Amino acid sequence: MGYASYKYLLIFLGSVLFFYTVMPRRFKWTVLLAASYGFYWISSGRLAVFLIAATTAVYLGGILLDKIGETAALGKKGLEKEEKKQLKSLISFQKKAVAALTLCIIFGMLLVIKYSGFFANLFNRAAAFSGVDVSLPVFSFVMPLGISYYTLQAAGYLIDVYRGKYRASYNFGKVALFLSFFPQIVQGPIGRFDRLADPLYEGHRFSYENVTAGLQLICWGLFKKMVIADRLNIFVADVFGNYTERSGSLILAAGALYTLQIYAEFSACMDIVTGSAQLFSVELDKNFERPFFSKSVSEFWRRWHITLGAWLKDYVFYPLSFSPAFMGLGRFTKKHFGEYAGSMVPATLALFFTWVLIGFWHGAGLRFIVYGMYYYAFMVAGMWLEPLIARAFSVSRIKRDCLPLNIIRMFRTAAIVVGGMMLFRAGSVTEWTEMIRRIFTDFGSSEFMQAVVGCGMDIHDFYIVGIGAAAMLAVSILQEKGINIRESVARQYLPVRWAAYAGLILAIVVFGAYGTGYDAVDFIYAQF
Amino acid sequence: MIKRAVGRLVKAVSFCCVTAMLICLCSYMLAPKDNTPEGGIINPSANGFFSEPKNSVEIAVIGNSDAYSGFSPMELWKTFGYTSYVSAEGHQSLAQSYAQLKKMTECHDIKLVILETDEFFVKSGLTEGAMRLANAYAGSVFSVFWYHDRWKTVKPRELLKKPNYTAHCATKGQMLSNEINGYTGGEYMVKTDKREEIPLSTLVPLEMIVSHCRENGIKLVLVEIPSQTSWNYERHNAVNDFAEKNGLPFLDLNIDRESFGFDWKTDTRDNGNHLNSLGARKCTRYIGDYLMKNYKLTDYRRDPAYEQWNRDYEEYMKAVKI
Repeated sequence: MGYASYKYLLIFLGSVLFFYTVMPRRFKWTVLLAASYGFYWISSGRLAVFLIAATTAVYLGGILLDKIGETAALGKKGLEKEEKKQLKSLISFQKKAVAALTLCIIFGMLLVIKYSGFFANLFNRAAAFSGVDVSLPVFSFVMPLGISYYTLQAAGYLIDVYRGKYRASYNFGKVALFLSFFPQIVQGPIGRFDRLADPLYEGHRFSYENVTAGLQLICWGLFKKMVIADRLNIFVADVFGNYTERSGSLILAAGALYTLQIYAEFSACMDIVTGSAQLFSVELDKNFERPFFSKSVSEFWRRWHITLGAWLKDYVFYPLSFSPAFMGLGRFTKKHFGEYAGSMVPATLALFFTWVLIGFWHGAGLRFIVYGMYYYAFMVAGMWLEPLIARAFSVSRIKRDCLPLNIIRMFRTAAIVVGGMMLFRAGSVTEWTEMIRRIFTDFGSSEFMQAVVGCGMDIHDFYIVGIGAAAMLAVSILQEKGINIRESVARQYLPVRWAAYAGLILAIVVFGAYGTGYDAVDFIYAQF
Repeated sequence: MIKRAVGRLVKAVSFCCVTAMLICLCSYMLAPKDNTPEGGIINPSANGFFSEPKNSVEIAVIGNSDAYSGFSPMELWKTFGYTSYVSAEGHQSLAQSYAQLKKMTECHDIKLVILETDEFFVKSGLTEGAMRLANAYAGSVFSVFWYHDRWKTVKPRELLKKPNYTAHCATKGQMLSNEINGYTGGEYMVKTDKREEIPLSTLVPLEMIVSHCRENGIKLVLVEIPSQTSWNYERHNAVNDFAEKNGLPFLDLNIDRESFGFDWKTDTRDNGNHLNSLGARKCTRYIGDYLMKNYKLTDYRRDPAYEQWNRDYEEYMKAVKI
């Protein structure tokens, strides 16, 4: 049941909203929990067992951590200083053991299901290369829906409890709802327990404002998905599927349009799920903040898939950077190579592991690791070259923060992102390098327009995509200026308001890429 | 508080009505104004009845690919003089059949409906079935959901033009095939007392078709065209039960095929799934014979108003090679 399907939007969402509204307030969360598991069951069937296992593991793990903390607090009373130290050490060990075991369980499931085939293949290749006659069986598992998302969410909860950020919940239903909430389980945003669990659990009265705002956001998401992304898919699939027969200019166009497709689609999904949650007066974390206004790759990743970046920053990058080993490395490099290296080397190394994980999170394959390394290389280059660049601006007396330069930076960032997205879309690293080679050696710009319309999309499709993209850009510019579009529209006179809403609906109905001649396109980020 | 809630409800309902009206308007503007392939209509041959002279067709044949492959209106015309049209589409659901039947009864004075029963067993969930039914209803009012892509080709002057159907289908909806790919496997109609359940999702539109026929004084005949791949005795029993319960005749042409000279080696185009033109002629003669014996239908062969049907038969015969 896709988020853009009538089954979800009309039947499922409509029914859940009805039951949520009529249910007494203290039981409203049960409607959401039942709906979430119902949604999961419809989409994934018995694979729900992995979600239940992860939920049970972090629920019990959280309680154990909490109990250990309580015991420590009680046990400390009346102890001597030395005994307190010993108890603290014991408690620390116990907490680490519980957290490690629980994380092993939840990440173990993810590793086995998503990555075991990749590692077994890698091992077998290495064995064959070194002439050792050993081979591991390669299993191919069906991926439980959203496992990459709910695993991170579950791990975040457990680590926060371990760190004492908040106490563990003793309410299994609350933890289960936090991990399974149907709008976010397929593609995120990756939620945090302290922000999401209570709004989900406490139950809200029917809010006309929230329901209408949620529906408006859903419609805007549908517009981006059905009018822009799904239409572009025809062209992108054609060129990427036959790249050996396409000129470099077409491949470049397909790379740029794929970037637009994935942005329109992923952000559309976030709009639909955020709008869905808003129907129940639940606010989900933001996952996008107009990423194509970014002036650098690192800024891009602070605006794109925000919750994944934030999760990795909080639970991987910072813990690594402030770990004794990395601090020691910092001191060592500072002593031998100076202060600048002392601050840069640990950060560079911590970033390396973070980007390996980002790449690997997207998929089990060399392509995804290279994908992570691609951005890592640009980011590290930017970090290390920053003093040189700053000096160059200072010497040349060119104003660094000016509009023309910022626009150039935005285009530069977009170009880097297009390269990365091409790697993401290509079947393998070899395919990607071949595409890049063709762009530089066989650009073939003559007769470009004729070739473009021969790849599945006609000129009318390009007009509509152009208008749709212009609408997205206009909305982004207004949002970047701090204007809340929905509130602005809501302040208009009724005929203007209704014209805007009905116009959006009609645009989806008339210009949507659905029905005869179009294949239904699954959300790209739902495949992780 | 209540006043405010009522006010909001009224506003919400009004907005939905306005939007629905705008969608209807778009539907009208983008709907094909002709039933030719160039006019943009989906499945032109199934919709060719629109351009037949008003009230000239008396027998409606509805169903899926089995119906458009296995029934020949021209053979029925030549042998019995009855006017029929096959409005069938591949994988057609009963909800769609119902919608097509309603359209046909609006254009023609339908006296008898031949309903091909293969589509009784199209399995779908209740939700899916309900949506199909809604789709069938919406198909006429909200046709923009089917024809929305016509914005690319529609000319401004066509937007508010009234439909003018001009297509002419000489085979009257039959998909004529001269290919012979025989079925050489064993007997598939093995007698049993078992019954395959007719899904609830198809029973609802089926009951609607039955009621529509009753309310309009239209005779309804259930027919199963021979199909080795999609038919068996369990299905036969189920349809037979339904027919008996509703007092409807049921002709299962899979049983006693030899009595009308049917031969799986020569009469199928795709190894037993669909019939070719030879198989269709044999089945049509058998059905026509049954209709002649049991119903008072008019033979129009000597009626000058139906001269076009004779010309169509000549054209049809030019296409028939087996």
